[in-house]
Amino acid sequence: MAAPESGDGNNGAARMVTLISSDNTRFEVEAAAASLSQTLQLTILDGGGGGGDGIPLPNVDSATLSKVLEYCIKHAPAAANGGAPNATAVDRAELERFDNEFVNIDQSVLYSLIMAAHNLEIEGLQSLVAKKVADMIKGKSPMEIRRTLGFPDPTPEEQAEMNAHMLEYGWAYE
Amino acid sequence: MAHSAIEVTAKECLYAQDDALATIFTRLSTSDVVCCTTTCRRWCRVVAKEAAVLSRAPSHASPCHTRPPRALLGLFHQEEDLGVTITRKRKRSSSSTDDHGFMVIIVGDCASYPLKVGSFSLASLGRPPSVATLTPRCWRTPAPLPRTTAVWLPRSTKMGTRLGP
Repeated sequence: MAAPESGDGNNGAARMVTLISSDNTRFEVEAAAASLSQTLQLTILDGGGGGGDGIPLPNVDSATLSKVLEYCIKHAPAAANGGAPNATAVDRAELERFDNEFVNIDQSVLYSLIMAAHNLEIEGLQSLVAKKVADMIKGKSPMEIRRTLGFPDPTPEEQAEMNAHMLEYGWAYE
Repeated sequence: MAHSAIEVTAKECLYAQDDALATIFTRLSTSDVVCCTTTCRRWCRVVAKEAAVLSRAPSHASPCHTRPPRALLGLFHQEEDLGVTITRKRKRSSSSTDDHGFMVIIVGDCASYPLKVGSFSLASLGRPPSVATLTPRCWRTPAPLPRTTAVWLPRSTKMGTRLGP
């Protein structure tokens, strides 16, 4: 879990900001990590989130936020280097390994992450979770997709619609 | 089959966030997105609404970097009372629909891709409808004709290629 050294030392003592989840848990993180979120970035640039006040995030619960911050902290050094011309292959491989493990989670957590990533506009995390869900969809039939993603079972009416559709347009799915 | 907690979240999330879904769809292949349009009405609507985004999306950092970018995305939408009618040559077992018009909604530069999809010639439409015509009424038209199929083609698709069997 040790952060690579390259990210430190750029701006002296790292500035910390406080984020407050929907259930009132406070998280203190480096400003650089929180700035991966486009939504938070402006507030932080304006000097918000420091000291006692903190930034309230009414849409994100604490379990999700800690997961999101885990991602941010891991990715902040690489982002600070601007895509990192001097990042070694080892660093990149390490990030990739982290990402793979990061999305190896319960579906409900995954869905919360999708929402949080979009609310907070964290680009890397958005595409990471999107890729995960896309992988769950790939190569499946509509019914299998519903089952895999845990959608409620279709109503008889919907089912009839789907059947009729497949009868008429089945060739498009081959 | 699904746990209720997941069901709620799936509903909230996958039903509610258009751009989150679009991000997911851009990472899927043509056939997978077509499947998604049938998965539920909501998704069909999102595919239609975000069609412009989807058709312009670069082939994503999925394992296959080699996948050609998408050239266009169309929706085949069947309605009775449309000004545009394309004769449907393809014989289906249920030929009752042959009398009805087909609206072909194309996103992207249709003019430079006078393709044939199935047995429909897209060029015969004349003027390509704009993205704005993508209002997804598809699921709300009265029975028995609310049928829409989304199709997009990789750039490598040759002129006159048939998508159907």
